[in-house]
Amino acid sequence: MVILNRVCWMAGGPQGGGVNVSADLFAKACVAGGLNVFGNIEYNSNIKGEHSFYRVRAWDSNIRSHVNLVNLLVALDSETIHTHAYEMAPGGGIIYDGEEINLDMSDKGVAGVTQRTDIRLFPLPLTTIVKSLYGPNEKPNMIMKNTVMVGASFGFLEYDFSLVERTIRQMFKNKKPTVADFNVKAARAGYDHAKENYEGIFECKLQSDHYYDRKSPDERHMLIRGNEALAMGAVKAGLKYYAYYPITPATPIAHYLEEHSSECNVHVEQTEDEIASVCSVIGAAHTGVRAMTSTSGPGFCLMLEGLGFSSLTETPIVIGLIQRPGPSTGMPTRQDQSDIRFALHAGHGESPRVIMIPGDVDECFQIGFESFNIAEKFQMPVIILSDKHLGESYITSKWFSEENMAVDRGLIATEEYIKKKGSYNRYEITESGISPRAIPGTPLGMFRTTGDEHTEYGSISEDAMERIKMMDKRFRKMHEVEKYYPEEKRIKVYGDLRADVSIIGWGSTKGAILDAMEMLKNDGVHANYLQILSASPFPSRSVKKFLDSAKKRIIIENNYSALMSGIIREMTGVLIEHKIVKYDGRPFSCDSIVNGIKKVIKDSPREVILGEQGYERAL
Amino acid sequence: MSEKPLTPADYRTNVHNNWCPGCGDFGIVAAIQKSLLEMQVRPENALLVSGIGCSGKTPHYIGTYGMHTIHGRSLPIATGAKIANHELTVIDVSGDGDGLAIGAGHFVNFGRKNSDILYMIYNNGVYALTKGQASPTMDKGMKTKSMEEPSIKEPINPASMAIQCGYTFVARAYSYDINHLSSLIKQGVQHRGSAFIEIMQACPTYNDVKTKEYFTPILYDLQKEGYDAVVKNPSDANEVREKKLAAITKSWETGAKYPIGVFLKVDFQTYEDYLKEKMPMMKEKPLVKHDISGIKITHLMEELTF
Repeated sequence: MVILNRVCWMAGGPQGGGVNVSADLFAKACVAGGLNVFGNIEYNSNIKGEHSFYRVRAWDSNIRSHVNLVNLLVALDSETIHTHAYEMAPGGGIIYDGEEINLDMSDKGVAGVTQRTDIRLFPLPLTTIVKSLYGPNEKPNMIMKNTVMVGASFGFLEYDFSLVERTIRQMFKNKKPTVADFNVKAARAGYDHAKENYEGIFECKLQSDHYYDRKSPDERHMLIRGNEALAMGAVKAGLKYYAYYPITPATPIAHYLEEHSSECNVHVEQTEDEIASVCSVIGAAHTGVRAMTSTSGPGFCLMLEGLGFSSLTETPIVIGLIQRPGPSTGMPTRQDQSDIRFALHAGHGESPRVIMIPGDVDECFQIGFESFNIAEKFQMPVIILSDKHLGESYITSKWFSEENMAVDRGLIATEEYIKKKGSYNRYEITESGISPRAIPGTPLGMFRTTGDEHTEYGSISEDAMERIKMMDKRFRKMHEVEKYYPEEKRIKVYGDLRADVSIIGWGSTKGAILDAMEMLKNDGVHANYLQILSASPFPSRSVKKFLDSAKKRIIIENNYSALMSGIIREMTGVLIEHKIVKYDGRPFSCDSIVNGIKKVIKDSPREVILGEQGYERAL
Repeated sequence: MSEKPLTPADYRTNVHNNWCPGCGDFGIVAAIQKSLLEMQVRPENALLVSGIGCSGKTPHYIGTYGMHTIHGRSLPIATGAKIANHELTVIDVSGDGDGLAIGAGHFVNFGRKNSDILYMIYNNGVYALTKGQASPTMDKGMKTKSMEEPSIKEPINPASMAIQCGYTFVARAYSYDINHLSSLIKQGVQHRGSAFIEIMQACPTYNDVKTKEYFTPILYDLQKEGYDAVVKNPSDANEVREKKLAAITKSWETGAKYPIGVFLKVDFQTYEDYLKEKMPMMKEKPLVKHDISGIKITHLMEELTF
C-alpha cells in the first residue's frame, strides 16, 4: 500500500547538533513542491547537548497541527531512537548512522525498538558517505551527515530531487556558493543511497505538483511562524520602535524585526530589562510613533507599572505576551496558555485595556496590525496574547491579504485644531471619553502628563469629583472599543450550528481543534467550535448565545485550571460542564483532542487531563 | 509657526506649586527656564521627563511638553521619546532615590548609550516626599532629624558613577546658584551625547545636616580654578582614560573643598548618529514625521515563499 503525500517526519538529536537546520530544509523543500506543512519544535532551555526534536507534517490537504505519529524519523543520536520509538507509525522507518549507532536488537533496554517488529531500521553508512564527498587531503565535516539524512529522507519518499536542490540553494544564498554546492552534493549522496539500496521498500511517498512552475510568488505558499506574522502585521501598521529584553519564546519577534530594521525603518532596542522595554515604548508612543514590546510571563511581571501608567496617561502601546509555563521561570521553552487572567488583571488599580488573542498565523498578522489602530484610537494599552506553540510553529499559509487595512491614528490635536478651539486640555472630558492628543513638537499643544490622577489639563488632582470624572472617562472608552471592535470580530464559529458536541477554545489550540473536528467527522461525530479572540472587551452576548444552543459543551485549554471557563462563567453565568486540559508544557496534537472528546462523549467526565505519550486521566 | 522671540512667560505654567518654602527645587526650575529661554528653545520642541518624588513635580511648573512618570523609570521613557523625535530637546530630571536606588539600572545603562539627552539628579540625600528616609547618597554615619539611627551604608557618588557609566558630559551644580546651574544646563543640552548633572540640593525640611549653611563655605567652581575637563582628541584612548581618571578623582574631593562645575566632556558619536546610519528614514527626518499609511509588506511575504 502506498501512502501518498501524507507523511509525518521527525528529526531528533542533541541541541546544537543541527536538528533545526535539517527540519528547515525538509519543511521548505516540501513547501516548494506545493505540499502543506505544519512543523513544531520541542527543545530544552539549554545551549548544547539536551535532546530536542522537530516534527514536520507534510500533507496534501490543509493541516494546522501535528499528530503524535512518526512515519520517518531522522535520528542524529541513539537517544532519539529510544525516546521516539514508541510513537513510530506501523511501517515507519528510522534513519540513523549505522556506523556509529549499534542497536542491539536483543537488548531489552532498547525500549520500544525491540518490541516493534512493525517498523524498519535504515542504518546508513553515514561516515563513509560523508568521507566520500571529500578529497584525500580534506578534513571531512561530519555535520554534513545531517544533510545526507535529509537527502536520504527524500530518497525514501521518492520526492523530486530538483526541489531539494532548489531549496538548499535558496537557504544558503547569502553564503559562499560552495556551501550550497556542497550541501546539494551531500543531499544527493543520501538521496541516491536510499534509492539504490531501499527502492520501493518504504510505503510513504511525496509527490510534487510542480506548482512552483505554474504559479507566481503571491499565489504560492509562505512557510511562516506566528511570531513572524505578528511582526509583519506590526510593520504593516507602521511600527517604528520595538523594545525588548531577551526571553523565550518572544525573542524571535525582535530578531525578525532587527533583521529587517533598515528596510522597514523600525528601530529595535535591546533594553536593560523589561521595565525599560515597556517604558521606552511609552516614551516613543507618547511622542507619536507606533511602538511595541513583546515578552513572556516573567518579563510581563516586570512591565506592570508601565502598563498601568500607559492606561492612566492614555498612551497607546502594544505589548505582545507570548506565553510559556509558569510560575517563576517555569519551563522557558515550552507551551502553556496560563496568562489570560494575568493579562486581564495585571497591575494595581482598575485600568482599561484591550486583550486580543490570535489563534493562527493569519490572525497574528491581522491582530498585529489592528492592535495599533485600537491602541491609538482609544489611547490605551493593547495586549496581544499569543504563546510558544503559535509563535514558534511553522505552517504553510497563503499570502496575507493587505486589502482593507487602513491605518487609523485616532484623534490628534494639531496646531490648527488647537488654534480653532482657542485652548487645549489633553484630558478634556468628551462624550466618547477620547480626548485628542497633542504630539510633543506641536506648537500650542504643550501639556504635562502624569501617572497621578489628574485634571483635564493634566495637573495632579486628588479631588473626589475629578476622580469620578476621570475614571468614567477612561472606562467610557471601553464602550467605544466595543463599537469599533464588535462582538462579531471577537469570536469565530466553525462547524454546523447543530452539532453533537460544542468546543470552546482560544489561542493556539485552534489548529489542533479544527483538524480534530475533521477527524471526528470521519468517525461520525459532528462538532462545532467557538473561538474567542478577545478577553477584553469580552464578547459576552455571543459566547452566551453559542453556549445556550450547545448540546454538549467542552472547553479545551492548554493549562491546569481551564482559566477561560472561569472567565466565561463570570461574564455569562454559564457553566461549561466538560473540560479538556493539558498542562505538561506541550501543545495539543489533533489526535489527542480527538481522544479527549471521545472520552467525554463516552463517559461524560467533568475533566479530561491529557499528556504526552498517550497520557489520559479523567475526573 | 510663529517665530516671535520667546519670553520668560513662555516657560511658565499656572499650576500651583506645593514644594516646601525654601526648597532647592525652586532654583532648579528657575535655572531650567532661564537656560531654555537663553537658548531660545521653543517650548513645543522641549520635553521634560521626570520620575516620582518632589523632583518629579518639576515638569508641572515648566511650560514645555512634560511627562511626570513612574518612580525610577524616567530615563527609559525619555530614551523612547528621543528616538521617536530626535529633534526634541529632551531633559530628564529625577531625585537621588529615583535615579540611584529604584532606577539605578537605567542610570547605568543610559550612560552607555551616549544618547543626546540631559539627565539631572537632584541630590539631597533623603527621600523627602515619604518623610525623610535615607537615600543612596546619604553619607555613612549621617543622621537627619527624621531618622531613628544614623545611616550604616556607604553613599554613592553620582558624578563619579556617571563618568564610569559612560556619560560624556558630567558636571555638578548647586541648586541655589541659579546662574551657574543654568550655564551648566545650557552646556549639557548643547553637548551631543548623554549629559549628566548632579545637583546638590538642600532639602530644608528633612536634611538638617547638608544645609545652605553647610554648602556655602565649601563649594568652589572647578572651571574658575582652571580645571580642564575637555578631551581634546576623543579618538585618543589614552587621553580619554587620563581625563576620566582625573575627573573621578576630582569628583571625590570632599571636606573643606567641594567642587562644582564640569568634570568631564568628551565628544563621541551619539546614539542617534548610529541610528541615522542604520535607518534611512531617520536620517531624512525624525521617525514621528513620516507618514505610515499604505505600507506594503510584499517583500516580507516573498522572502518566506518557497
